[in-house]
Amino acid sequence: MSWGSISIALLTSLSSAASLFMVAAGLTLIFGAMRVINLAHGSLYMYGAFAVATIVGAASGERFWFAVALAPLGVAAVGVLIEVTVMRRVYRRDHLVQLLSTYGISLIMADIALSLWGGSPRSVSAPAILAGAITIAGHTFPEYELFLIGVGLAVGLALWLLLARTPLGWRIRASVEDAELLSVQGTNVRLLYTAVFGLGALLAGIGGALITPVQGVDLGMGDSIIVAAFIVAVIGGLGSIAGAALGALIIAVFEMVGTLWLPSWAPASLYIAMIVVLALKPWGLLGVKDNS
Amino acid sequence: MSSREGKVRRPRELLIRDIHAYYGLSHVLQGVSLAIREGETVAILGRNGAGKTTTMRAVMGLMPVRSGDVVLDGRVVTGRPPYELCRAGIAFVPSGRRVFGSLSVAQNLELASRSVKRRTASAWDRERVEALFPALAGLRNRPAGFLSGGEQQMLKLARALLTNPDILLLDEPTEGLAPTVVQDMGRWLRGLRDEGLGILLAEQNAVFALHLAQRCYVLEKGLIRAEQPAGELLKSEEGLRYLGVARR
Ligand SMILES: Nc1ncnc2c1ncn2[C@@H]1O[C@H](COP(=O)(O)OP(=O)(O)O)[C@@H](O)[C@H]1O
Ligand SMILES: [Mg+2]
Repeated sequence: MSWGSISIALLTSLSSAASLFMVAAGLTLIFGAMRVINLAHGSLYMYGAFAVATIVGAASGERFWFAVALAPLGVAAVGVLIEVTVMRRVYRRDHLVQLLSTYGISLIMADIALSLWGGSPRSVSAPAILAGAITIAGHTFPEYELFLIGVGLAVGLALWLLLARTPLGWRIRASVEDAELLSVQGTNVRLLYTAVFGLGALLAGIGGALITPVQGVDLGMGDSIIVAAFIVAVIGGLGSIAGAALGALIIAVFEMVGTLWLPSWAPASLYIAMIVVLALKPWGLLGVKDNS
Repeated sequence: MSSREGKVRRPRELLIRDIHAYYGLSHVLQGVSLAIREGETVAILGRNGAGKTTTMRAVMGLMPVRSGDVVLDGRVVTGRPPYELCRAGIAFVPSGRRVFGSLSVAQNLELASRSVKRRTASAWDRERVEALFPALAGLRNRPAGFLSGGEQQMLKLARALLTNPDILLLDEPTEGLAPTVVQDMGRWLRGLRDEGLGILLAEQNAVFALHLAQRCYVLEKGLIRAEQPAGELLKSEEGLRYLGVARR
């Protein structure tokens, strides 16, 4: 194998890690603060993708950036709606109720998607400025996917800054540790939870919006991403953003290695990675033991 | 009282009137009534499990009050969410190591002062808090989880003050503290009372509480069994024996 094809494989892993990270980060952020696994997270991702496909429509190209800016905000708004109508009623209920609620929401969202957008897949082409490809030792790699890697890094950096440097971020971390204490110190934790859920949805929306030039947009895309994102979040340690980044990289590399050398094992690579990590570190790589 | 000049007004006051609260089916508070005014220190004493913590949690909106009222300055605030009670001027300092361990001392303090806009005449800010607790100034960047028990207690008190309360609810402030720090705690609380804060103190350490308080309530199985001046109880052989205080 040439180093050219290895670099391409690595870059491909990085670009799929970038988009996995954005979705998993939202999932893990929501879990960290509210202790719920949002099974509708994949549906939010799918909505982000369909929103872009709809806005871009036949007029590919110039409308792409507008769509990519708008779609995640719409998805965040849907997230806020879900939080206010359903989620805040189930935070104190047991995990089964929470799982059934979010699963129910994902079914409703799937039906709405079917009636809004129909069953046929859509495709979106990369904007002209990123439509080209770079060449490494005779192998090509799409510029758009380089851009995707950059966005993944930027989102990771932004989340880190948010949590480490801003009072909102401190509040989110404080709510993870002791929400009751935060509330007696004057924070409206209910509102904070709505904001966190909205932020998690925004991340799913960004992930879905940006994946459109890389893969087809269809009704099943949410179901496949939620499994991968969940595994990524679990491997990294549920609740840990840095863990989500690490988990996304591991999964992406595992998938690449599987695809290149053990194609028949590739579909199982996700699960194998999860089993290995959890056997060694039951709370995930960067997770902390949950005492609740 | 230089810090509280201004027009004549009635003193700040928290009234708890006949509150009942349950944990599941168990009737934990069976009609607790008590009153606390600014500038006054009041102790709630009682054996482990008597309902001291639950009383504070119920006042603070952290658990449902089935019947009865919590009244702050004449306004019924029963069942309001905790953040509203905080913003209305009640600070609750729970027992134990309740600090945000992964946040720095400075971030812990910053969160408390940012969440509350109310400004009393003698507003607490970082400088004032660090003047009261000089040790905290040197620990600003330390994660709060790495503080000693005494330092965490300081941080908990500092944080509560930064919300500029009129009434302080303190749950077991001397629990697990070294004797010298218990003395510091007594000094801090006297200072705060002299500034006009009303302090409600739940304590296992009855002697500490009785030396600090003017009045005390004795709670037994969710009922107020006695209310009397602290000095009287301190002299009462029987009362002290009930509270598990050994006479030397
Ligand atoms: N989370 C809880 N669930 C069920 N019962 C509780 C809980 N917390 C306290 N209790 C019960 O409520 C009663 C009062 O407890 P508490 O208010 O903590 O007493 P104190 O602070 O005076 O020691 C006790 O009988 C205790 O067992
Ligand atoms: Mg107690």
